[in-house]
Amino acid sequence: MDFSGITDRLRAIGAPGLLGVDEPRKADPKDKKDKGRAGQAFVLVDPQSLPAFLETCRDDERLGFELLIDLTATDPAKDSAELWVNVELLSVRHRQRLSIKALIPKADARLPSAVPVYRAAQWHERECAEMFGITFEGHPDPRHILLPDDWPGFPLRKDYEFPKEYHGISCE
Amino acid sequence: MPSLEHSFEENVLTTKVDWLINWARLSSIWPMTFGLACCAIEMMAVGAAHHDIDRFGAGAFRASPRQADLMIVAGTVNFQMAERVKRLYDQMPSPKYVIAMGACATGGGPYFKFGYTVVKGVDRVVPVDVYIAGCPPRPEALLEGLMKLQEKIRRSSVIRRPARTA
Amino acid sequence: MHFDYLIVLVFGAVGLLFVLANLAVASIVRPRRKTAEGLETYECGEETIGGAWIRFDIRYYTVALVYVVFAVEIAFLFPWALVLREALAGTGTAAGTGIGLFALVEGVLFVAILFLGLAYVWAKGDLDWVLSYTGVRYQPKTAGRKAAPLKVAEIEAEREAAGVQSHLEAAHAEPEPAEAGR
Repeated sequence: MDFSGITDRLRAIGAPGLLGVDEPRKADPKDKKDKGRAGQAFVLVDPQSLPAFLETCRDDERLGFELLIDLTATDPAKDSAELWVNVELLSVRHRQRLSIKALIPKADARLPSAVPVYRAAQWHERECAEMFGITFEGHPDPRHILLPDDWPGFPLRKDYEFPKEYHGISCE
Repeated sequence: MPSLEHSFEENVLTTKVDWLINWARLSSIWPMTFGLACCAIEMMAVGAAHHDIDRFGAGAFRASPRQADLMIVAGTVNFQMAERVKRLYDQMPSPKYVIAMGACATGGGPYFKFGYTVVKGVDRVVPVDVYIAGCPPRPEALLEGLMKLQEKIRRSSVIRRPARTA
Repeated sequence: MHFDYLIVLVFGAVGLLFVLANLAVASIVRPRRKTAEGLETYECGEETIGGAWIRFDIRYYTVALVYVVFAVEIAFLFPWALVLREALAGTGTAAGTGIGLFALVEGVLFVAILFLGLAYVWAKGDLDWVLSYTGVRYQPKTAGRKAAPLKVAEIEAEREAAGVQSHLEAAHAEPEPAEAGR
């Protein structure tokens, strides 16, 4: 199914937490300021219902997304109040993909973990946690995966400041 | 028996003995396998048949620091790896030498500006004898670095007192 | 006095001298720079965890034991073969003693007894390096996933009409075959 078919199916089965749909569009000729939107079509989901939504995507026979391809986060701008959590799903038997986005506030970055639904999310969530400071509630093994265990700060946030030295070695 | 290092005045006999000892050391520099990133591929190429490092006597790459004289730091050094580099350097027996191979080990390389976990040059962790530029350096460049190290060893003084610099 | 094997003693002495002289020269020429960090135990650059005397696998001992037995057997077979050849060819010290048949039978008996031991070790499974897990077999989880109820009947009817069915759905539709036992 293409993207509109998937979103129709999601609405038909009443997937929990579905907030909206955002598709790329051309620039509006009547409005000069509207440049349109290029890029990926994605589905907007409430972060607290993200595991339930993913479970619906996995278990429904027409959607059948068996694989979690990616789970990352984005810090859109330095002054933005939100972080985006992006999830990519793949259905091998139906040959379709789905992009999901959940917005969480930067000040209180927490959402339930997707590990009970997709075990592949384990390492992806560990990386998001250490790079963005997002807490995944219910994650079985929340330790650092790439950075040293006592690294200060969250490097992939836009307001990250490089440390001056670490364990006696200068970082300048 | 105490060491004879630096215990004789410089004369024709000690110069010859030093020449012999230095020749023995520079003809059998055994490196420790320390390939960290892409420069390791070039180091493997140097160890292979075409650019043969064994003709310099340095073809016996030792896995253990206890049996190695030379540590070729080939690749990017992270902060986590830097602690291990320091520990392994300490565990090598003297006389020991370090070659910083490639841009990352020399000065941070392409990660100099935005690499927050990259040590900007391995000489912040261990003392380096020879730096080799390149990203990665060609195998011939690594061999030239090895030859420069051999020159350094050839000039060193073992049993004669080191020449005082003015 | 016959010093037939004096050359062996000289050879051994020169070999020992070679090693000792090298170690002596190295110990007076090398620098003395021992540090506390340098004397620590090597563990691939990490700080050491626990002791180095761990319990090793018994398979190494078994393989070494069986090897020693058969290596000694081969060592015994070499002189036996030479004597047998001499006896059968009629030359050398064993010629004419009539020992040929007896030596052959005894040699074959020796090998046969040791072969019995090998057969026992083989049948008992002591020569297998990879041990087989006879108790556990992989059972894929087919129960536990509840299918979402299809709310739209038209889509369902359309699918049946087209006769489209993915192979996974076909597998789930069939009843599970009964386990035939191991």
